[in-house]
Amino acid sequence: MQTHAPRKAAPAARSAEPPRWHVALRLLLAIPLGYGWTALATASLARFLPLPALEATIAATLASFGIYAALIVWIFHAQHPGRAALLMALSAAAMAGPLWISILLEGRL
Amino acid sequence: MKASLRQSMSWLHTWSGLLFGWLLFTMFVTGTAAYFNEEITRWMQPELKGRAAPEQAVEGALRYLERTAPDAKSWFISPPGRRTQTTNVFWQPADDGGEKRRRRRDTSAQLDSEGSKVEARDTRGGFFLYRFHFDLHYMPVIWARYLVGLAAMFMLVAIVSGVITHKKIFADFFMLRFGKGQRSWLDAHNVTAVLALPFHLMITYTGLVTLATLYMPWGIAATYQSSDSFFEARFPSREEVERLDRPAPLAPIAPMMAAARTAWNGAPVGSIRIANPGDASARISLTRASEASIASRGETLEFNGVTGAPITPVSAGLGGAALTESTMIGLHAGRYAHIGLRWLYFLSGLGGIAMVGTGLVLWTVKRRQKLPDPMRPHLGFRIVEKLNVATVAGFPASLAGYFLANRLLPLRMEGRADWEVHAMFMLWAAFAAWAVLRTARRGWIEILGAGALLFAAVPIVNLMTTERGIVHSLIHGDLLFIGFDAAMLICAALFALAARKAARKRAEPKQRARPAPAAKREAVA
Repeated sequence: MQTHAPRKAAPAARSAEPPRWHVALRLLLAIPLGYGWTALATASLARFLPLPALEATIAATLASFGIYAALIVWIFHAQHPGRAALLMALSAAAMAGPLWISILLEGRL
Repeated sequence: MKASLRQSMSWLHTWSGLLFGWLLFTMFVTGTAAYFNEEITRWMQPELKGRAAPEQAVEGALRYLERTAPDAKSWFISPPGRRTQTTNVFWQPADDGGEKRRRRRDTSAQLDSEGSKVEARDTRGGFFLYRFHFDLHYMPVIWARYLVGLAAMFMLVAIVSGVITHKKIFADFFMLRFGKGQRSWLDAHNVTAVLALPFHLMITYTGLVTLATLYMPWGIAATYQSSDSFFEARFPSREEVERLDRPAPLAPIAPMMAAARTAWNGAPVGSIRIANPGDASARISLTRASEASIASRGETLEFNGVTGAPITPVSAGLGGAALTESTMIGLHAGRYAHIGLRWLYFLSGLGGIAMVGTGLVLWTVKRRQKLPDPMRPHLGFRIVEKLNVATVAGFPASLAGYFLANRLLPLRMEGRADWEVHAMFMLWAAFAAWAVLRTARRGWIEILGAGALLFAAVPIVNLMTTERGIVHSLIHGDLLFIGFDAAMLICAALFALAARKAARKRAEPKQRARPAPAAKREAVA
C-alpha cells in the first residue's frame, strides 16, 4: 500500500469530478460482473492447479474471496472503468476458452 | 477517476462500510457473545448444576436411548465437555419415510449424567446468539446466509480499502484524541480497527470460508458433476450398514472411549454416533471433540457395535488444502480456545463492534458539518442517523432483554424458548420506534440510558428469581455466575458512560471552526 504515493495532481483533479456513470459502471463491474469473473477464475484454478482434484477445488475456493476482494479494489482504482471492463472481458475470455475445452475433453468427476 | 489510490479507496471504504454496516454490527455483537455460547446457555438454565465424567454420562444416555428409541436407525450422543454440563442426544426414527416431518424436540433430549431428562427451563440459550450470527431470525435460513455472506464480502472490501486509505497506519495508532468531535470519532475508529486488524481480517475471511461452498460453488462445479460427489470425496462416508434384524446387545462403550482418548493423545470424545443400535450390525463411531485442536473437523474412529473391535479407517487424513480449510473454520469458531484465548477472542470481537459502530457514527459526524442546514438534514442523512441509533445503541441493549426474559417469563409457559427470542426483538423494535420518534441526540441518550438500566437489572433479577444470585455465587465460588453478573455490570457501565458522553456534547457543529489543512486531511479519511 505504501508503493503508491499520492499523486501530486490529486487535489486539482478532485474539482473535476468524473461523470456519474463511471461510478455506476464500476459498481456493475465490481458486484455482479466481478462475481462472475471470480467464479470463472475459481473454476479455472480448481481445474488447472497442479494438485489432486479435491485439493485443487478446495484451494481455489479458499482463494476465491481474496481474488474477489482484490478485483473489486482494482476496479475502483482503475484509471477508467471502460479500461477495467475491457481487461476483465479479455481475461474472462482467456479463462473461459481453456476451461470449456478442458471440461469438454476430460469431463468432470 | 484521476483520484489517487487513497481517495478512490476512501470512497469505496465509506460506502461499502455503510451499506452493510448495520447488519455487520448485529453480526459482530451476536458473534462476539457467541464465543461464550455454552456459558450463556448454562447461565440461562440455572437449575442445572454439577457435572459428570463423560463415560458415566454416555452410559446414562445409552440407557435413556434404549428406553426411548430402541428401534431407531441411529443415535447421536454429545457428552458433556469442558464447557457444557449436560448430555445432548438425538435419534433418527426407523419410520423416517412418508410420515409428516417431526419436530426436532420429539427426537432429541437433554440428559443429566444418570440419563434422565433434565428438569430445566426451556431456552435456546447462547445457541440462539450463535445461530443469529449467520442465520439471522424471522427469515428463511438460506436468504439469511446469502445476506450475511454479502455483508462479509463488503466487510472484506471495507477492510482492504480501509487499510489502503489509512496510510499512516502505525503513526496514527498512537493518536487517540478525546473530546475533539469528528477527529475523536476518526481516531476511535482507527484505533479499534488497527488494534485488532489481524483479527478483523482473519475473522472476516474465515467467516466467508465457513460457508464457502454456498457462496463460491464454481470451483466444485468445474471439477465435479454434482456437489454430492464433491462432498463424498471431501467427507468419505461409509456405505450404510444393512440391518441384519438379529438382536444383539451393544458392547460396553467405556473401553472404546478410552481407546479413542489414547489414539488422540488424550483428547476427549466430542460426539458418538451409533448406527443400527440393538442389531447385530451395529456400528459405533466416535468423533474427537472440536475443542481438542484448531482444525474443526475432528477425526473419527469406528468400532463394531457388538464385539467392540475397531474398524480400520476409510480415509488417510486430510490434504494440505483441506486441512487449511478446516483450520480456518476452526480459527473462526474458536472452539479450541481455552479460557484465556477465549477472552482475547471476545475482546477482539468487542473491538470489531466498536470499529463498525464508530465507523457508522463517523459517517454522520463527518457529513453533519457539510449539510446546508444542520438543523434540517436531508432524508438520507436522517435515515442513516436513525438506523445508527436503533442499531448501535438499540440492538446490544435488547440483548439485556433476552437475558431478562429468560428470568422473568413463566417457567412452564408454552413456547417459552421462542418467547425469550420474541421478547428481545420486541424490545429492539421498541427502541427502533423510539429512535424514529425522538431527535437523534435524545435517541442516543435515552436508548443508551435504557440499555444501562436493563443490563444493571440482569444481576438483580437473577438474584430475585433464582437461587444462584450474586451472594450465593460469591460464597460458593460459582465462577460462571460471578463472571456473568460482572459482565452484565460492565455492559451497564459502558452504556451509562456512552449515554453520559452523548448527553455532554452539545451544539457540537457550531463550535467547530477548524483550520483548513485539518479539514482537508479528514476529507480523505
